[in-house]
Amino acid sequence: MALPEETYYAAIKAGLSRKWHLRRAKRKATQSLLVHSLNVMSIADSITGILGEFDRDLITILSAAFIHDAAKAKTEAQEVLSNGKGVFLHKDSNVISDGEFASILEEIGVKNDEAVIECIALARAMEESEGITHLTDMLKKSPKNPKLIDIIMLADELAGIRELSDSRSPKLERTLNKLGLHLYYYKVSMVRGILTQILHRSLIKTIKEKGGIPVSYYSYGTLFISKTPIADPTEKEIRGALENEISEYISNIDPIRIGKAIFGRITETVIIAPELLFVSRETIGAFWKYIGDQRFALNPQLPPTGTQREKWMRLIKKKYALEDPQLIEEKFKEVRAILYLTQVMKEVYKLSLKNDEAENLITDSICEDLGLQKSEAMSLIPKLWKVSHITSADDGLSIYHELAASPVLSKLRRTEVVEKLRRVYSKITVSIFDKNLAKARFPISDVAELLVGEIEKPLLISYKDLAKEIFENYAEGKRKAKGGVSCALCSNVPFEEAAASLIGESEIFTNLVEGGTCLGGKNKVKICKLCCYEAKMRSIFLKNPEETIFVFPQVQIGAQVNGVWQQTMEHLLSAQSNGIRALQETEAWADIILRQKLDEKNVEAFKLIVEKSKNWRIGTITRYLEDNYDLESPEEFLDLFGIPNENGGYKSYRELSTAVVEGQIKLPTEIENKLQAYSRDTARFTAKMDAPNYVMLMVSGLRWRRGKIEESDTAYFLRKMFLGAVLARLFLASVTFSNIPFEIKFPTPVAGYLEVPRKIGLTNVYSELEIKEWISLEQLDEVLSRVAALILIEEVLRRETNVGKDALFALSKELPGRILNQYLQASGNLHNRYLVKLINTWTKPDN
Amino acid sequence: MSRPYIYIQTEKESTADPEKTKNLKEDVVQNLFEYLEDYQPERGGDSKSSLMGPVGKLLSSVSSGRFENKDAIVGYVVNIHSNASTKPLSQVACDHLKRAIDSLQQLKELVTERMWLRILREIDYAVFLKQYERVSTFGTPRKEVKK
Repeated sequence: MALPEETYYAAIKAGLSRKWHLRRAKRKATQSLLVHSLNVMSIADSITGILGEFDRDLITILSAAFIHDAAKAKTEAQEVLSNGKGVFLHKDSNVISDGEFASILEEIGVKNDEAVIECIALARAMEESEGITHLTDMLKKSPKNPKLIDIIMLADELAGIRELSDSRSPKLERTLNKLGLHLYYYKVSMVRGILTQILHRSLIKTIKEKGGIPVSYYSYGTLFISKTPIADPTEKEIRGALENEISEYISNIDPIRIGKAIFGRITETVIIAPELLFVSRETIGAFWKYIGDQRFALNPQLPPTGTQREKWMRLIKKKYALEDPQLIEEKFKEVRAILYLTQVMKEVYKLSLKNDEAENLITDSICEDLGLQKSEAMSLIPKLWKVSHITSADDGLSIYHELAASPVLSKLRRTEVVEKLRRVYSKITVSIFDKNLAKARFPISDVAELLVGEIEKPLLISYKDLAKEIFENYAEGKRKAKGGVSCALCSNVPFEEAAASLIGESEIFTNLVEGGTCLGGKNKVKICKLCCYEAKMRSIFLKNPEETIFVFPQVQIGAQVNGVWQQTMEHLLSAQSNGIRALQETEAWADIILRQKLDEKNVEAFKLIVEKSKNWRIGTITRYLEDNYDLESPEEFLDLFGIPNENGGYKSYRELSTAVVEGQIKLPTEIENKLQAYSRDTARFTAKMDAPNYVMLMVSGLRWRRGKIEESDTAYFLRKMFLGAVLARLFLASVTFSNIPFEIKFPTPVAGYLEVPRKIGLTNVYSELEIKEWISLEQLDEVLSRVAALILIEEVLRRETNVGKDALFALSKELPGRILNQYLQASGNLHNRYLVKLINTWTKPDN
Repeated sequence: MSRPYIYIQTEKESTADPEKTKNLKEDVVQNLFEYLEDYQPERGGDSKSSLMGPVGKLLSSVSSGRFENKDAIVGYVVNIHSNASTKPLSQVACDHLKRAIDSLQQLKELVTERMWLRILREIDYAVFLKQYERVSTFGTPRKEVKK
């Protein structure tokens, strides 16, 4: 017999081939038959694990659990389920024969006759007698071990719980008592993203420590079973666990990522996430390294024209007696870079306690590292703290002059001066951190306290206190009325003015500002502390994502099936580390869908994406090499790393990159690793699944851009809808988009595979595709293949003619013959059967 | 100063049964497509009009209201066919043509003027799609052009 893990994959394959993912499991279209069957399998697995005495029967239990609702795949059953009326017998041998059960069992690796008979008997015996035929079936072949029926029945009942707070029923209690098990769950009130994942993680850990075994995950909670009753954890316990979890989470993030997230813009808010700067010495190092790599430090540009340019030129010329414009420009670069670095240092200093100790530390450090006298340093430092990006040329030049006159800096060249100063500033920042002089630290306990307030079960606060707290929050918000009485995203106590990028630039998403006004300038709304930290945490992984996508379980996902999600996510992430735009290549996904390669354990699918991403990968490597290796020729690069150059004759980095992608050249491991990090950042996609309850994906670069032209909104929404449907199919889950970047999701019942992104222009397209608010369980494959065909039609036309930015949407409304005529006029090709096939798939999905 | 009034006169809603319209439309497309089996252009081209042959002419003459009489339309198309096709018109193809024109006339009776033009456009491109599909699968039966 197969191993349990293989049984899961075999079950998914068997279910997909029978289209169980398009069939309902229950009357409400919230969960597909495939997901339900897998959940029952998974929960039965967990129950067997906790009981411990039926390990030998595990495969039998799993297989019987998977087939227990097989008859529901039949058309008659689906009609009854979708009409919501009538009764359908689904255990009766007149409805589903032993042969049908046996063929599914064979596919999932149960071939032994005895085991097959036992599985079928278990599957049939799971429900109370449905009639005389069912009763005869049950009497004819009753399971050898009746206790196994209880396990699968309990699993089925648990898999049927739609709402955690309704998880108690007399029938369920009876089955639990029979097996000597207890049920426990926790629930949170909203889904924020990363912070809620951390909350889930710490709650799961706490309950596990109390003996609970997680059996299934909901987006807003987790269901546990245990041998002994579990007492609610106390607030102190949860807070402790949460604080540990947050600190562990932050310390495990790559410091380079944090370093990047701290910096905003030199001309705006320089340090946008001050709390993240003083996380560790490594983050400080990474931050200053990132600053040193910025263009303003490496190569600041003199304004090409205007009075500013003339002023700088005149002053430098006068002060340093320089005539050659090139030398003047070179001097300008040094001055400007030093001023910018000093400006950043000033912002860092603002985050310290600014007491005598901090000032002494800075003075000592400057004296020691720049070789200045204490009196000189003491007169210089106050001037340094006045530097900003609008410092006038006169002042800037005099500050520079004083600083650069130090014995250490005066002997160095421009790049060395900048590097030296960066190191000095980095050292000062580390000292501030080491001596505990930092004011801004990540408020772990604050965040933990606020997150605890989002737990609905166990309720840690009495109803009276809760009502009082809600009123006080409101009153406090009211007192600081400017910017809203509550957080624009989650209605908590407002804390900070939000940047428009967090909450959408239009007023339509909030009623806290005047109607018809755009957010910006003084017209701002406020958000709460948690929303603020959520935004900062997300920016560590991807700044300003174009889309935030949530993959939620179809009601729930069994603990063991969760591994399938994990694996899919790892595939996506490893693809992008290898320089593949795993999510943005919608054409590749369209191709995969039409070639029906989606179910082959993802490997074949990803091969196709690799092929389609080839050009992008070549571009990424070229950019990386150009940015990092300022050498005369690619040949020089090869010599530098001792890479054998057998084919020779690479005229450009692009040619070299093509050879790398085609496998003709192998780059050294150190460059490969750096390239992976570079690809990961440029791919602009990230997926977070820090807790098993849901996946959050952030993606940019989905909308195509050519020069100044970018894809229109309507066309983009259609593409986005397709991506959502692909993700739903990949994860076999429900997908929903955030309308605004940091939208908080409140647990709402899912109603299919994808909550379609709404756009007025798309109403007709959606009605053509027969989609309402959700892509229902039954529709997914049809919608996927139709839109996939449309995307590929656009690709074919784009190759021949200039189709414009709205092409995808325009094509969706066009007569098929007219699309063909457009192609014929552009190409003169009378024999494109591929295009005809695509058009037929788009217009006539049944054929 | 008096202001000019703008009247929007809405067209009378079509009372046509959508199912019947759809069937007639499909009937026209199918018959025209089958008729085109007999059309083998003397000089093939890579354009829609060369693929559509007399059908394009038929549809434009119907839309312009050039002919009202069924026989006149048939005669017009047969004349174009005999001038442009290397294959003479068979009885079967002629019957298809007549049936298509019949259905077209029935359609015209059923629908409003605006819908009529839209339907003609749909028929035009539907026949073209089918014809392209046929050509891309079986190739164009073109006659070699003598140089």
